[in-house]
Amino acid sequence: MNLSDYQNQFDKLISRKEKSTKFQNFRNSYFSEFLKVGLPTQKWEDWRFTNLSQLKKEKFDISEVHSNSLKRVDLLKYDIEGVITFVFVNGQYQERNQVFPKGLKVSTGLKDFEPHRINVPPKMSDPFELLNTAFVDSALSITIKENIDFKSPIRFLYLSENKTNLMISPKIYLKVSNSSSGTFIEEHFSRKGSLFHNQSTNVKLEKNSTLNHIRIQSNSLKTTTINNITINQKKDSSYNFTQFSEGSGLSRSNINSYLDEEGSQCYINGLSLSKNSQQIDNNIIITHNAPNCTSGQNFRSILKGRSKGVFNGRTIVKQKAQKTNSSQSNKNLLISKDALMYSNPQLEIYADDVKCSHGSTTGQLDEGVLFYLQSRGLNISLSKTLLLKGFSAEIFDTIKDNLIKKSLEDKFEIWLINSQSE
Amino acid sequence: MLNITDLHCEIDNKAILKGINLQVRPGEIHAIMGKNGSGKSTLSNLITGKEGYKVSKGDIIYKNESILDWSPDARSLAGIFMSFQYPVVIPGVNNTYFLKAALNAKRKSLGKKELDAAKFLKLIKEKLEIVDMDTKYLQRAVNEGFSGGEKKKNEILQMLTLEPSLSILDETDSGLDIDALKTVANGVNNFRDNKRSFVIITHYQRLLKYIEPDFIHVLIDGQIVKSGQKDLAEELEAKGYSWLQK
Repeated sequence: MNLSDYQNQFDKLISRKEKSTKFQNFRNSYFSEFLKVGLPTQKWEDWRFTNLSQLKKEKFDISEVHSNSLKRVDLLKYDIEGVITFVFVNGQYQERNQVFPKGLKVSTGLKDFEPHRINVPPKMSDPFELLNTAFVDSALSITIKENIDFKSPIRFLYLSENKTNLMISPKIYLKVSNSSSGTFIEEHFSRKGSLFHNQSTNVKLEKNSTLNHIRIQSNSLKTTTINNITINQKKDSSYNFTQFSEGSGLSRSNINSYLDEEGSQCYINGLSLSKNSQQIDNNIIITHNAPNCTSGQNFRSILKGRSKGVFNGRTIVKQKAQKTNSSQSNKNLLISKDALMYSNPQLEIYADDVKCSHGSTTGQLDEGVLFYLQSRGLNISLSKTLLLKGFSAEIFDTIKDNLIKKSLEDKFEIWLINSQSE
Repeated sequence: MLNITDLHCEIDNKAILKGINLQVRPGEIHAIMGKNGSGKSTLSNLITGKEGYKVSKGDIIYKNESILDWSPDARSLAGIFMSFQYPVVIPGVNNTYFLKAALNAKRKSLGKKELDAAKFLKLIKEKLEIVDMDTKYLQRAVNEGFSGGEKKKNEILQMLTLEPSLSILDETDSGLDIDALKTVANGVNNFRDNKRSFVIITHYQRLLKYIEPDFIHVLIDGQIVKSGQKDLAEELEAKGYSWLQK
């Protein structure tokens, strides 16, 4: 899809009547900025290893508002007891008269993202952020009010079953107010036609708040997923992110976290499982802007077939961010000889009193350990499975909710079984 | 039980074993002694089926069948066990999970029902007591952060759990203090009966004071140069190996 194709889709979008005229202007300004910047090429430093050729080759239509709604009764089957589920079908949020518990403020539509409000991404130069704001089709803003330990997980379920090529642009704003906590789960499933999923998520953590964020990406191989997450953290707040990524032909996560006030913690973890010609990229930047903060990045990949992976992890410690404690770890297992991993952990430190570590390993399954397991009566395939489970255990252990953890371990088990038969 | 005949083996065209003959009958304990590089570990790896060795001549017969083409897991299920000289660490895999998987693989091959968690725990607690290990080891990843002695005890624990017919103890005494050595020896002696056989591979006579062998063989440069009974160990302790070299 070249820039003129984007222009055509944009014209189609802008010709629709929207409630917010303010937002139309906003779309216009973001789109013209996008046209100036253009799509990334592999000459861009941050995009050196990301191959966007599939995305550039295919053409996508924006989602239609009315043709994609499910009946209330059909939506019910996606609900899980004790979990607040929001369903998106082919990019369109499915309105239903849900009653939300006290303490949760949910607002749909573009109102919260109008120019005079603050909920727009700070990084104006990123083409996919610009594209997302220009094309946003479903916008949701969720706030957990003050002093609430919000027990029910909040779950966003993205289902795409498009017959024709589809481009969707969800925009999410999450806020956890002072001294509150919550769990946010996003699940992505697509099948059938080609999909370009370009999401922007903004997270605001107020003083002494906690958010556990779990992202499960199981899209079909015909999907290109771009996932931008920006997190701003106030004093003593805590953000724990775990990503389980097994889908999409190309999947790229750009996660930017800003530790803006003292005492905050940020942990970004992920397990990437790739096979065939999949590519899973993770680009993490954690910026320590204040003293006494802790951050950790822990990413592991298992790569099969001709698949590729990228880990670009950066920790920036600004001069005033004394007593920073940070770690970065990236471990990768190449199961086939054609799989490829680019790993690039980086530290940028301007303060002098800090404790920072980083490390990266890429290798194959250890023959000595496999022999040990076999010598105990486990066949070669069981031995490999056991080793892969052991390799990934640390990432699953970052998930605090046991039910979610178990369901992801089951998904991993299925991936292992399927990938063995291929 | 085990019958090794004229076994020749090479790695990268270098001859390591040059015609080994060894017969181990049910209930017997054989010790194989020798210096570093004499081929002791190669012999134990060949019996357990490690890849990377080329057998150019001879055979290994276990319970009347040649096992040279068998995979390591097939040999294990048939009752061959090796206590590793250097037990490996398996990060992220907890000991209980590993032991249970191994035991149930064995039970399955014998046509027995797999043990559930409760029954397994009861069984493993009995075995833990024999090797003087705390139940806390069960929750840790296999050998992760274990001391040298703990790793070797863990090997014996696995032996007691899997109940092999033929156990090969490869340098099990190395890195053990005297208490751990006694515990390990105690584990073996309790397990010993008139059907199970052992091959103990060792540098020193030390372990043989606690586990009394029926036969001792001296391996030098890929060949068994002398065989005898337990007094041979004392002779070796006094005189070293040089008097046996050609």
